[in-house]
Amino acid sequence: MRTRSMSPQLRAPALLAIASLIALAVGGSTHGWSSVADVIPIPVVAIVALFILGGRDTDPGAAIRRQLDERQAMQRLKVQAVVGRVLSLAVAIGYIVASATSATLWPWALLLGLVGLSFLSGWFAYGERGGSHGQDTAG
Amino acid sequence: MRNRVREQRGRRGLTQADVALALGVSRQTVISIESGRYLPSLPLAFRIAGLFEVPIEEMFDPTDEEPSK
Repeated sequence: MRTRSMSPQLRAPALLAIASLIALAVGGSTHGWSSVADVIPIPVVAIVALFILGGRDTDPGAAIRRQLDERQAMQRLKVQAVVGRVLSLAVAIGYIVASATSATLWPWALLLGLVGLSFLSGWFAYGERGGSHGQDTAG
Repeated sequence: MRNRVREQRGRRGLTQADVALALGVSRQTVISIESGRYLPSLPLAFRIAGLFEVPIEEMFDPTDEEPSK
């Protein structure tokens, strides 16, 4: 029996559509369906934009289709690094502002802890640990 | 680092899309390599040299910093 695989262009929009439906269902059941109706255009526009961009022969298009070659994968890593830096800075600023205004501090502290933990785990996972296989002797 | 991808591709009458398909990379990556904006990994460099049947040291010249035009 042959299995049908979804077109790469459709994958990301389909995933976003499913996530949006779940979010809308949760939001609708807790805050009322009338409040959900106002935000429906946002995921619809995002889904259509993902589908259109994913069909283009560009680097972002390849990223949306998850068909990245080595250069594009490197580009994605750089983009993720920028996102990580911006979010880390935002969390640090949020922590400072929260502590200055005596607002609830623990969510910011938790996020700061996550930033530090992910930094350390990243080095642990991807850093080269010398010694065990090193062949640095001369000759 | 200078490379001769564009020169070799032109010699064989291949398009960037042909080379991209043969190497299993995107057309944008072939453009970036040809213009010298992207240095390919060692495995990809070997695939490029193999595709054009040119020794890797002839395809990529580390002594010349300017990309081929």
